[in-house]
Amino acid sequence: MKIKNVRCVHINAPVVKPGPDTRPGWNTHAPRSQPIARYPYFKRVDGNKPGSTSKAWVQITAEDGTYGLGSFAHGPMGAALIDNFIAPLIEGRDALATELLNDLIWRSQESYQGGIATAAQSGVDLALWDLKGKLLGRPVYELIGGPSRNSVELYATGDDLEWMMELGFKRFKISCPFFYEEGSEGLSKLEEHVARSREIVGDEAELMLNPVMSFNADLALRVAERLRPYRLRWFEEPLPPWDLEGLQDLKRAMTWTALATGEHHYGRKQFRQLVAARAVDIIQPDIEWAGGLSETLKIYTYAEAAGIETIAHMGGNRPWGQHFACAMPESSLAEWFLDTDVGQPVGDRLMPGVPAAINGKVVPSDAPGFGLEIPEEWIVPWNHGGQKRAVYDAP
Amino acid sequence: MAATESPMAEYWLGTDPGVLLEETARIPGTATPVNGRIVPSTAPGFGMEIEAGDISKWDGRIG
Repeated sequence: MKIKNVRCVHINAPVVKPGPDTRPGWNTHAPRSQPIARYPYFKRVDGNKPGSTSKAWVQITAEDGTYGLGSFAHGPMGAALIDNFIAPLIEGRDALATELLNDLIWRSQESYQGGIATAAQSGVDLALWDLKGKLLGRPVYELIGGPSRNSVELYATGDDLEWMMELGFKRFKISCPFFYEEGSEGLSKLEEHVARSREIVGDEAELMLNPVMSFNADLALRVAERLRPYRLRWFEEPLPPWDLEGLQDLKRAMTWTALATGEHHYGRKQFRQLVAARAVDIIQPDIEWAGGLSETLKIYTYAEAAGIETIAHMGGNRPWGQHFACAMPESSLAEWFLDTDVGQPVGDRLMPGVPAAINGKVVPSDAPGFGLEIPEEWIVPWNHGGQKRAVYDAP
Repeated sequence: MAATESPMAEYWLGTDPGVLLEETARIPGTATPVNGRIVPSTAPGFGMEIEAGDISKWDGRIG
């Protein structure tokens, strides 16, 4: 079965407004530290920081009219790559040959792979897996060797802890409002935040902290020591992805808390270094950024062979993350990012066909592909111009 | 056939000189090399065509 068409699209989904008995969730107002926080005149609320981009979708149609869908980060930049360079490279080729198609894309992007290009490739790969599942009539988790479990255990990310507990979650990851230039005063505020969170969730619940690359290795260790009494399950991405030596030093010194990182690592080559250096306890590839499902499976294999667990970034909210965690034995947990308001159903922002969390667990769809049920009329061509579509030699 | 960084495979020649490859004992349904290349079966699974009657319970023999 050949690929007939590859195109970047926008999903024109209606926005569900929170009901009258809700209040704005943490995601709308909680200050979060990220690298750009060095400059205090930028707001720290997610979505408003410089560099924030929206996601886009890829639709890949086979010659019999069956199509698959996948989404990826940094949509406006990646869309030009997909429509003008990746589409002419893979159209007309075998739709099921995901290894070949990914290899073609990797090799065509040898001078700029990673970052935006790898995020764009992720969307293409996910659309290919959705298409493969539909053509073969099987859910993706079966195609990659699952199921390994009947449901996927979730941890919730957010600061609305009472609401998250009411929803049935038992594991929680909280935000970090503290950037490394804020000194001891900022560190004290962070300790208050963590102490209050531990008091709310209780002694037995798992609690994690995510500083999103806001520290250097020295401060990360001092923060970890200060927070030691609160028994964090893991300390997530305290350093930028390029500081491999810093991660190694931190992991060796921070024996009381696991070190997790990976959402800003792109592709198996970066993860191979991370695993080989024993620089981390848990890896967290983002399936929409790191190269798609094909690449995440290879990353998983490196980690699994080294005794390191893979817990995909934002895996619980997305169909690909649900299928991945359902299938892979050493991925026993997935993240549920709470992007809805307090009191609002947690499934309100999901695409049709994507199951929502219930009592801290999620059961992936068993429909063919990833099980997406997006109405065709919602799918509209991506609007961009200027760049001409490439013309390559025929397969 | 599927993995891009596996461009070559070994074909172990267990037959005498002069014996045609298609006449050698092999699993029914699997392909025979032609001019140094082999095309795997496109049938479901690995494409093996072993008759059910030819399959018996392992008898525990060693060697």
